Amino acid sequence: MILGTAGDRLLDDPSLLPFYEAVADADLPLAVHVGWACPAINNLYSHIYPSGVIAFSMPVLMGLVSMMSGGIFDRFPNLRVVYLEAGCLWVHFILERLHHRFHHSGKNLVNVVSRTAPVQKIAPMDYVKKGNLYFSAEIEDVLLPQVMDLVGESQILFGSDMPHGDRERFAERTLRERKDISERAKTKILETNPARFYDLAGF
Amino acid sequence: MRVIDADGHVEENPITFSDKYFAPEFRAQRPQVVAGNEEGLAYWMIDEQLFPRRLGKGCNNLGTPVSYQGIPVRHARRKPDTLGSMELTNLKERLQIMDEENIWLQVLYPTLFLAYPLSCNPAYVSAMCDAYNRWLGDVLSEQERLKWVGVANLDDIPGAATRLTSALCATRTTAGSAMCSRSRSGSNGSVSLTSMISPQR
Repeated sequence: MILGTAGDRLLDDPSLLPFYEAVADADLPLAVHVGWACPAINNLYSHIYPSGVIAFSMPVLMGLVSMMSGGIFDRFPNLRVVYLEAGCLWVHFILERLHHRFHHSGKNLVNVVSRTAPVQKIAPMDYVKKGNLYFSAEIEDVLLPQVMDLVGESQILFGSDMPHGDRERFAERTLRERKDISERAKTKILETNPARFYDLAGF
Repeated sequence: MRVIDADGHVEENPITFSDKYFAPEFRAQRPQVVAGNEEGLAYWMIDEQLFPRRLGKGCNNLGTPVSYQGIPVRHARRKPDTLGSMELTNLKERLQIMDEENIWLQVLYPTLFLAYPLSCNPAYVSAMCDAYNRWLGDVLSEQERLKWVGVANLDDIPGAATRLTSALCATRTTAGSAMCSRSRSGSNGSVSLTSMISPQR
């Protein structure tokens, strides 16, 4: 497990490459978990309420952006990564922003200053379509069906957060009771997808 | 269907950093649980810094520690979970609440390591990571329903990469890995990173 930044370094920092290489060579799954990861952000806050919203959660979003834009997924194409405990409502927002900026830099800005060309090789959604990026969902995420439409229902995992104080008890039951998600998708979220991500075949 | 919880947690406790798991050279400065000024509050003291720190600039809200001298702290008393379940001192109690919530298998993540930095000394933090990884490798070695995720110190990349590589070369018999627990071709279908989970001598 790592957090969404390495302190005040982003996750595409060249110093981290040997770590990714070791993880990829070993074919291990890598988890990027929410946490108070970045002192520069942490120290903007003196109240735990907004800190819990931004300083705790945002590094996960930063982790995806830096790994993708910094070419980590190109360098280690088999790296299997999950982004945990930030819900899944951010996925649309970040992928749309990545898409917009990737094309702006690649088609417009690069013609002004050539060194602004994106480092990453392919469009953001093309990395998602490869199937190596996973996201955990909160069972109450209202846009979960739409996120599954975007990233694929095989890329969403269930996490209980047990025994932390802000978790929802009986989350599995609550997810099963949702009417806007198919039974097939529920089975994937609750069993198939985590088994595949963690390589727990026959668990 | 057997439900897999991809993101459960464990609450670290003094056993995590006990002599059995913590490197000898850092034992004099091992993380300690200390009492707060108000009844029912407790903190980890690491390098003379307190965790959690819910007030003031740079605050955080870690759930650990959940006990002080065996007594639940204030926030832990509000939870349905027992100390044994949260701290994994009683695996049956963790499995019981998993059964109540219809979770067959749980992948466990840390709590203390959700804050950065725990110390400005990378070697010391690596020792803390090692102790955590050894501790879970030890306490979870005899069962199949609780897997665990290892923690890596990104301020010690050579150390993290070396530990991962050497651990994967070790005997594969029980659950646990440097970056994530996983299933494989070991005798019980899971992988072990022996060099990381062997207790300290």
